[in-house]
Amino acid sequence: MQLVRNWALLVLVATAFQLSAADDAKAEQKFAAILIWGTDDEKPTEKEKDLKDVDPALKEKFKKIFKWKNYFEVTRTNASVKVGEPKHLKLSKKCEVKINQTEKEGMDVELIGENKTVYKGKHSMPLKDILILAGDDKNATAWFVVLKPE
Amino acid sequence: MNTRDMHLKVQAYLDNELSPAEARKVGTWISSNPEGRDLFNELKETREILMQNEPVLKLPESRDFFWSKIEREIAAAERLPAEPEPRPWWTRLLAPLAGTVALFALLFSLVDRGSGHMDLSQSHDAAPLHQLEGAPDVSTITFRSEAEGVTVVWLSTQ
Repeated sequence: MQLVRNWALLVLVATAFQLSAADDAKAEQKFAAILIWGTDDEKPTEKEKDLKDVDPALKEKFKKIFKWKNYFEVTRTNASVKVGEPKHLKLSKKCEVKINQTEKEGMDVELIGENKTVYKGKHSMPLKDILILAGDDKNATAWFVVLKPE
Repeated sequence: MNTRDMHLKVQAYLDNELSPAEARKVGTWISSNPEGRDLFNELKETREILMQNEPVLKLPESRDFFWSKIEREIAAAERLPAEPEPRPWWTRLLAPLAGTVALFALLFSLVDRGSGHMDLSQSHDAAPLHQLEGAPDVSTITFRSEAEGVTVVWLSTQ
């Protein structure tokens, strides 16, 4: 009888632990925020150290969707967002992203360029797609802010 | 068979559009007739030049993205409010009159009634009529590629 009681207790504790872990996983969204620069030219020699190659899988997607020949990673930040814990990510001197996950309305994404809000939008949670906010840059180049679920 | 018909047959022979019997007949004519051989060679060269130089229009973006932009433009155009009904003719006469009255009202408000001089300093203290918002006008196009698992929000400043 004692053995059965011990087993039952063990199963109960394990189930509770599993449920709690599942809840945590559901509430938390991990992703990489990447600032990418797209150009038809080669990597400028003066920025050789600053610009990295975009990872091949992402580059392949970019080549299928966008028209530029080369894509370079400017910065990358890993982050995790939880409900009620807004995150403010600084990707460069001019580019910042604010992310706020809400329980009912999904994820609010705010893009700030040179201290001005240029985009605010809601996206469903959990974020399954790669979200790319992008726009034209000078000299026929383009910038991309990528939020990639991980 | 006249020359024109023969030309058409040679063209059809070149395009593999003839029956086997006809093709044999035209083939024999070409090989035995110098004029036929010249015509065949000329048509063949023309065909090759056309095939090699046919312009291929390549979209600078993916097909899905291109069509989604058109779809969104159409949807945006459909959302525009219908044009208002034309105003009655008498409002056209009233508009310049109202403008003149407004101008006089403004002049009278600026003139110092006691001295009859304009008090321009008043305008320095007056509150501005309106304030422009500092935020830039940004339009967005959203595109989702299910195949790539990517959602793109393209921002354009106007």
